Amino acid sequence: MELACQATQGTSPNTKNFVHNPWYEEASSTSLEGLISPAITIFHSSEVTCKVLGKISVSNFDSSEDITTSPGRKACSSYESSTTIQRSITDLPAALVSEILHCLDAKELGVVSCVSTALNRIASDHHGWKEFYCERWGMPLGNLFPTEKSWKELFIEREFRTKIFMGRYSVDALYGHTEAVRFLNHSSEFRLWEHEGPVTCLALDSLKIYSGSWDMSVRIWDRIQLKCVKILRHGDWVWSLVPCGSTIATSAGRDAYIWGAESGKQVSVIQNVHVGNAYSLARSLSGDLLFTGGEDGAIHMYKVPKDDTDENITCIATWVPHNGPILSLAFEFPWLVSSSSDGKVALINVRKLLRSSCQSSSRSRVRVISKLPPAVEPPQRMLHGFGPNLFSVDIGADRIVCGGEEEVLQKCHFKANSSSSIIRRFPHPPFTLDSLSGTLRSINVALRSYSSSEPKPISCSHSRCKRNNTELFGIKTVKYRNKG
Amino acid sequence: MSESTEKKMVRLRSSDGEVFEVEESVAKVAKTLQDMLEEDCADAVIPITCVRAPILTKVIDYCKDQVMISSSSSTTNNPNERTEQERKAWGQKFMEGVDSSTLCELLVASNFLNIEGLLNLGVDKMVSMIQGKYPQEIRDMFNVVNDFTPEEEEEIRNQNAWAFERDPYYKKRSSSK
Repeated sequence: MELACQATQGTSPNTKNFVHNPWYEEASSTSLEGLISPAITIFHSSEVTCKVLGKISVSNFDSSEDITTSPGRKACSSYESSTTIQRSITDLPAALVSEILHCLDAKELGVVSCVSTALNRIASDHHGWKEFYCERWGMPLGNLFPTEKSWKELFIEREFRTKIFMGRYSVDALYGHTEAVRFLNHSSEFRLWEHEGPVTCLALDSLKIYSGSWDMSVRIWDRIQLKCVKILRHGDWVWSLVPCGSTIATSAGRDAYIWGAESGKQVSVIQNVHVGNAYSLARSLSGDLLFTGGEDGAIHMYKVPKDDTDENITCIATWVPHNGPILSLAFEFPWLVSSSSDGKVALINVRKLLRSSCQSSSRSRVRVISKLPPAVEPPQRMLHGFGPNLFSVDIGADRIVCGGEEEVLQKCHFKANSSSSIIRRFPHPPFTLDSLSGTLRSINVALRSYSSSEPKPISCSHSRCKRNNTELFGIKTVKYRNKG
Repeated sequence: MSESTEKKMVRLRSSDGEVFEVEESVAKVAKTLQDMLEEDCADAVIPITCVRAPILTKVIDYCKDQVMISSSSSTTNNPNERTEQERKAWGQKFMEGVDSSTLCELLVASNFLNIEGLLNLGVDKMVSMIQGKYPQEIRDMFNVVNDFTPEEEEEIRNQNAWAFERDPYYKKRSSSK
């Protein structure tokens, strides 16, 4: 057969004039001796072509290089006659199928892999699984994630674990603030004194430290040089901030802002987010969802468009789970956790809202159609039993941690439901908690349970001290350990 | 090329032998044809042998529209210039009523002729057809043969069981089946 094809090319002087076409080669190879004009060959020999098609080699769709062997095999069944050709999705080049699958979400991809062997193969290896994972939870750290697992398996495991927040839990108290604090690494302690007012919020990424203060500014510090590299000036007291990729979201007064981290320029602003101060912010890893919590007890969810579109930031949903101001928010897909001055923690599952809204197809996975005033949604779960004024909360690694006025950190450890045996539980490293203390207004907790492989688990604390009778405000790193 | 004032025409022949005559500018929307035309190796009829006549008609419709858009936007700041939304609506209308078999052929054609816009339209349409379906529905829609053995299917179903459990919306659908 190959020989025949080559012979055809050799004997037909017009070959270069023709758009290269697999059908043509196949067809003409079946009627070589005739040396009829190729186009006519196709026309006449389409019945013959049908029979031969089953054996067409990988070169079938020459235009795509990474074709798999799948399309040819199944194609033959559908080419019963030349007039009513029924083409199926498996006839498409693998690269095209891959492109299509790229636009689906995780569950749809799971469904597609049940359709046939060919689609299963493409859908299971699909690079999209890595994106799904990283978009929701960020890159996995360290060797807790064995590399022989596919991204799909990793994703499914993690997906299962998100359900445990509806299950049973136990509460631990950590007395880091009143007990002697153990410094794991003295050399990593440092203090940054530059703010002229109480520091209200802190955040970290691999290179920078971010701090916001009542001096109406957000400062960005270089973690290596420990120097302030940028100041973002606000018009009101800064309450909260979240860095995300190349942007930083901040809240000051009753407004929320988004800044470019490099330029230090204000990208967008949402005015009057809340009645009263906007105390807290949270953002999804990919940056397309922004949550705000305020003095009025409301939590809003905003969709933040990508940089290159000129859509506006739109409010998708609102919750009012608490009886008091929302003091802190944390988000790990699909759970949004809020803590309030009423001493309760609310858990909100945002998955349903996003699912129903992503039907309108294509590239962006989070998509909202409705322009209607956002509905007020009930929270999925409330956790009670904490002291009043829970100033901060964080979620991650099957745990929720909150800190409040009692100067005690509460850690809720959720147990995976024993009936779902598919969940494989990873051994967790010794629990490290990054805690920030200082003025009562602003305790911040950051949980980095997967960071055992990181040389320096990150922790920051801001504190207030008197030096030469003047009040200074700064940042200090402190590390707390579980008591006992 | 520019010596004649009237527009240069290009002739395309589909797999079933029908010949279409289109303006060169229209043909050039397809990158593959553009390359050929620029290399000047297409003097007579260009056979596009993997695309049937009805599909080629559709492709040419699309190309014509693209030419119209680009000429109106490049020459003047036409107030009639289409907005993003209108373009989307047009794309939807273009793809309306296209069945899965035609869609697959369109995809192959646009992939082969290298027409990015049409390819994207087709992919979007395909995605919207797949979304929210069950495997059997997808098989029916795209004429895919279920080539799993019963055991294999069972296993793969178990592996992906999590993808099927979901909102009330889906439960309703499955119970109505």
